[in-house]
This record gives sequence, structure tokens and C-alpha cells, in this order.
Amino acid sequence: MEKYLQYTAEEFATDESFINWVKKLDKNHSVFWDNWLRENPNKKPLIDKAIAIVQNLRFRSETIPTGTQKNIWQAIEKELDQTEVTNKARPLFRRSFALGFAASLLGAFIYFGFFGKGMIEVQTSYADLQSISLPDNSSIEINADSRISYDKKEWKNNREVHLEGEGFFEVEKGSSFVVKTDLGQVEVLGTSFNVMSRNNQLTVHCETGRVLVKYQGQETILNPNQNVSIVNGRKQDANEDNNLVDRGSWRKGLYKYDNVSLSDVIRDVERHWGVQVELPANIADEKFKGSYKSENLEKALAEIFWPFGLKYSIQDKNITITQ
Amino acid sequence: MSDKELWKQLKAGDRGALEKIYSTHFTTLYNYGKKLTSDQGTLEDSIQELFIEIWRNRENLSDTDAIKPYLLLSIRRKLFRSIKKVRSLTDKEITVHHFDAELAIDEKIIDNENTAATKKQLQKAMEQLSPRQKEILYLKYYSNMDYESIMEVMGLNYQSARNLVTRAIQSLSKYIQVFLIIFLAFDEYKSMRYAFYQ
Repeated sequence: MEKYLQYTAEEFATDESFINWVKKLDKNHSVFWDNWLRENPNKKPLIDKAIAIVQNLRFRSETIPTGTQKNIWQAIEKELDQTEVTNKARPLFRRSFALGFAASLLGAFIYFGFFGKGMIEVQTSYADLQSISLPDNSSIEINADSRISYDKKEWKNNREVHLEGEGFFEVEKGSSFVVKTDLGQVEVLGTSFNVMSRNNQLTVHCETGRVLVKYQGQETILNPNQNVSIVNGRKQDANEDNNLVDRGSWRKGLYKYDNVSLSDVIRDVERHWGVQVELPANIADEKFKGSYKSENLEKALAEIFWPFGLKYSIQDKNITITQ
Repeated sequence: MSDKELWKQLKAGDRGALEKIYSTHFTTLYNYGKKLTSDQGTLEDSIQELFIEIWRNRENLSDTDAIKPYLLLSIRRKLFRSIKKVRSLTDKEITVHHFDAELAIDEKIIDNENTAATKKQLQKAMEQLSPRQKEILYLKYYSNMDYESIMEVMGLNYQSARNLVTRAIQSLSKYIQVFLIIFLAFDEYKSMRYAFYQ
């Protein structure tokens, strides 16, 4: 095409066909541009710059609070179910959520009251671990600040569990067993594995058997001692046989980390002991490699902070860090 | 299934089609909406209302073969309406809207020492842009929308959409020269794309 001979880098960078080629959005354009470049090698510096512009216009994506997508959908469904019977004024999600929050403070699960009759739900708060058995003798150990739900009535036909937070699953052999999270789903036949889905991060660790992780059309198969993480929409490769990546060891009283940001480590501490830690912002992104036992808070804090040369003090449920 | 078929199923009263549309586009809608308003509650209510309205009006909806721009346009209108209510602005004032977008860096190509400096540079570059320029860059290069869809969402004709993007890119590229040089020196990228030069 003649017009491209006069183009500046900026004009290339805004040309739809060019953008589609750089981003590989459309195969039809690729032959054209490959040929064009071969015929006009003197344009390479311009094209380099234009490609750099297109590839570097990345935007920060938002952190969507855990459960948001599900909560809004449930509010939509509830509303549609109601109006199909009567024509009431509709409560908005925010209001019903506030109600639900107030109700859960009172120890009642009104907000989740619209689950079907067979729905079982277990929710753990901070410093609260629970172990449950499923109808087929599969079991889940639920970490603090997490929620699971499943349909007891449908269990025979459909072994499906919804998870927010973290749980360790031991699955009896049988038909497909699926763990659904906001970010993706995990499918197994009979095996044991850990799933953590928090703060826009999904981490799955396989202990025995084989585990299939599905995320936005991508599938990853995990063998024993392998794990995969999807952080803010990006998949991080499955590590192999790294002693530190066994996320599932929390249930044996051991938390392990391989280059995890200090703020994520501290969030585990807060959940496990129900404490509040004031972490100075300048060290929040420091990476921690190591482990601690979850039987003693002070020992754990010492394990976490000594590599950074940090001191801490505990007052009731508040922990302050000094540098 | 194509957008066209999915939309037809929705219009025929298939609730599963609504759920499919919701789960496919939720993240896109949330991400985009969050940049138009910082109020999470308003955004969540708007998304909820949008899907309830789509379901209630499904029989009157016109056919579409592109669901994403339809949804983005609808959420944009809704958010503007609610922002307008809160600040009691007129239609004209609301065109000078807010668009909170930050450029992100591919951490693979920049070592830690340079990260802070580069971040600052990118931030400075973004500050030069108007909200509409940021929005169109976001839709074009992040959401990968074609110009036709962007015209629909932002209410522009082709020429003004092109001009808006070009001017944004021009002022950005002035500010991110340094960054581009680092990027061009990145080996993996070169070998990836320039195999055919040899």
C-alpha cells in the first residue's frame, strides 16, 4: 500500500492493521506486513519504534475484591427470580450486602439464605480452621477466612465445590471433582491438592495424583509436588519439586514461601492468629523465602523478620514493626 | 458460539445466555468502569442494574454481533448518569470526565534499579493526556477494540477517533523515549519478532 511509505512511527502505531499485526490479533494481516517489511528494509527503525509503542501501552489492571463477581451475579439472579413472581422494588447489591454483613455479625447467614435447600456452606473467620467431610467421604480442610459451599442433594451427580480463600482437598476416587473459584477451576479424579484463591491470585499445589487447572481457556496439568499460580491475570509457570512451594503444608502447621512478598506472608499471619500487623509500606514488597510453624506466633514473627533485620512488638492483637 | 447467536439466545429468554455474557465480560466491565469512577459501590450497583435491565428488555433489544462494545457503552452511560446526579453537573460538563489509567511496565525488561525511575517517567507521560485520550488508548491498546467499536462506545466519528489516538501517541512518545530505548535493547523481544530479517 502506497500510503504506508509516507507514514511516521506514530502513524504506524495507530494504524488498525498494523496494531493487529503487532498484537497478533488477526492472521490475515501478518503476511501483508511481513512482505511489506521485506520490501522496505529501510523502514525498520520506524517500525521498531512503532512496535515498541504498541507493545508498551500496557495498563494496570484493577484488583477485583474476592467474591465480587459472584456476589453481584447472585444479587442479579435473586432480583430476577423475585420479579418473575411479583414486581417489587429491587434492593441493590450494596444494600443486600450491608444487610448480609450485619446479619453475619449476629451469627446468622441471612445473606446466603437464598441458596437452594441442598446447599451447604461453611465459613471460617480469622484464627479459625475447620475440617469437613463431603458426602462421598472426600474431605476439605478449610483455612482461616475462607468459605466453601456445595450442593448436598446434587452431590451424587455433580461433585462440585465453590471456594473463596484456601482449602486442602482430599478426594475419594470417583467421577470428576471440580473446585470452582472466581479466577478459574480445578478438576481432578481422585487425589489431594491445595487451592488458594485470594486477592486476584489463584495458586494450586498438587500433593498426590494429577490435577487439571483451568483458567480462561488455558489448561495446566500438575503432577505431585508441582504448583501453578495465576497472579493478576498472568500465569506463572509450574515449579517442580521445590521444597518451598508446598502451599498445602499449612494444614500440618507449616507455612512455606518461595519469594513471596512480605505483605502476602503477613496476611497469612493475620488470618492464622487473628492479629493485626502494621507493616511499613516501604518493606511490603520485599520478598520472603523461608518457612515458619503456625503453633507459636512469636517464633513465627522472629522467623519472618530476622532476615530483614526488623524488630517487632506485640500488644494484645496488634503487632508493630520497627526498622 | 458467536456473539450473534449468544445474543439471539438471550433474546429468546435463555437465562444461561445472560450468565454466559456476564461471566465472559465481568472483568472487562469492572476494569473499565473502575477507571471512570473510583466509587466501587456505584460501579457494582451499575453492573447489577445493567444486567437486570438487559434481561427485562431482552425482547426489545436490537440484534448485535459485538456484545463487548454494547456493554461498555451501556456501563459508561450509566456511570456518567450517576456521577452527574452526585455532582449535579450538566451534560456538557460531564464530557470532561475522569479516566484513571496508569501505564504498567513489563517487569521482565527492567531491572529493579530502573523500575522507580521508569514508573515516574510513565506517570509523567500519562499526566500529559486528557481523560478522553487516556480512555481511547485504554480501549485501543489494552482492550484491543477496533476503531468501529471505539467510535460506538465513545460517540466519535472515525476521523476524530483517529486524531484523538494519534495526538495521544505523539505526546506519549515524546515522554517515553528513554523507555523505548531500553525496550528496543531487549534481546528476547528482538529475536522474537525479527527472525525474518536474516
